[in-house]
Amino acid sequence: MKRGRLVWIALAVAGLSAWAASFSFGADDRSAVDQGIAEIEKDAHQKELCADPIAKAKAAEERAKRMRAAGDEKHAKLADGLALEWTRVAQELVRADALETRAHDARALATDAGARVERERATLEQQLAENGRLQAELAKLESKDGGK
Amino acid sequence: MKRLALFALVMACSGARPQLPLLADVERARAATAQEGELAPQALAEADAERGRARSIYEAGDDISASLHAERAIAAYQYTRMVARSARATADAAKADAELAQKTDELRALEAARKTAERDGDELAKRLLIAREMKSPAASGPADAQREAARLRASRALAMQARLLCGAAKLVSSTAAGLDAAMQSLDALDKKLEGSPKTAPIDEAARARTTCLSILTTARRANAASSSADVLLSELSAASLSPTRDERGIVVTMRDVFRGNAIDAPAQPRLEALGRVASAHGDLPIQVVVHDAIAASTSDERAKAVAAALVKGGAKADKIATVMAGTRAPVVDPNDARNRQRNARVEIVFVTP
Repeated sequence: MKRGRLVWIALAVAGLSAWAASFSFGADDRSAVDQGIAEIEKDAHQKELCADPIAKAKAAEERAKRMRAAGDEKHAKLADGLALEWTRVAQELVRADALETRAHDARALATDAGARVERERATLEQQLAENGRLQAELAKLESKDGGK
Repeated sequence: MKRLALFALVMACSGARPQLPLLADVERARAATAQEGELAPQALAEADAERGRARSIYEAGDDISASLHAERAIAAYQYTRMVARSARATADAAKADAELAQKTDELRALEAARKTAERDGDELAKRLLIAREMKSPAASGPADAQREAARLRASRALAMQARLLCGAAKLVSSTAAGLDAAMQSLDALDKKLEGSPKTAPIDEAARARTTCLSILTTARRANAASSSADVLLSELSAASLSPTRDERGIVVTMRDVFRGNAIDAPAQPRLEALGRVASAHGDLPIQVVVHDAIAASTSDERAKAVAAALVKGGAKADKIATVMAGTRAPVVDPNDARNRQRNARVEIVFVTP
């Protein structure tokens, strides 16, 4: 009798653990989605930039809620995964935008440096030409006939 | 939901199992992302795996799960495109950074070459000036007494300028070619000028000046050392010492320096401050020139007092030379009693090597 009760308790604990494990996986996904969206929406520019993927992530979250409410945990988890995927898209979009801005700035600096190089080269060539003119005049003056 | 309903209706009517519309969307997303695979291979592989799951689950008959996987595959393809954008931007930034570094190096090299060319140009211009002066026109003819007196004053000024230029040349290089001969000629010229000659040796004085300028220029060319003159000029300007440039180098002019033959108390800290600046530019020798408003003692006691104050500030004693110019190089007419006090001054010249 005692042994039978222990088996039932063990089975109940195992079942509860499995249910809790499946539930906590979904909870992590949802938490990552909420945190990710909140982080992006802190910044007005990012919020505007990521409006489309964030809207899709929120819609997927809503679907997951409805499915969960209807007791369809299997599909709710898939919808959670979809929400997470759109959140990842938004996060990567923010990263790409920042990197593109940085690349644009670096390109502008390089272009500006290129222009300065060309200006400096022109100034140098002008100075070298002037030196050549001075040198020729000096040679003429220093020649035996004194440039006459 | 509408699409799913339509899909169910079509399926019911036809009796066949049609393609899930979302799977067609997945294929379009895959086609649009194909090129990005090179930049984001891992993300593309994950998206392809999701696409595979959508297809196989659909084949197994679970349309709702297949739709969710298909949507996830579409999102994963978009994620792939974002990763590719990031990778492309990172590569672009790295390329621009490398180009900037290369252009910066190029710019530095060009700036250095331009500075050298400008120095060469300055030197050529000076040599040209000397060459032109050497070819000065025929000797000055006789003139009336008043004009002759003016010529005598000009001769004295030119002779003094020559002495200062030769003095600067000596500071640059004590073995400068032609320096000794030029100094001997100058001594002879000074003797002639002291005797108040009937005819002013204006041409001789002009030649002496040109010769000394030529010696200084040649000494500089031989020396060929880079100096910190430009930095010094900025520092002196920043210290409100109103520096100027002349053929010798950078000149700071000070007035009201002496009380008798000693340094006046208010001038002492100014001179010591100048000595501190000089200590930071040890490559530049210093010429101290004392000018008077009216004829005064020719003893170099005052010039030595100035040198001592500079040394107290940190200047090197062996880099300082003193000259007593007296009244021979005025800046205003010495006969103008109201303004001639301006002629009393001390020039501290940082000779450009």
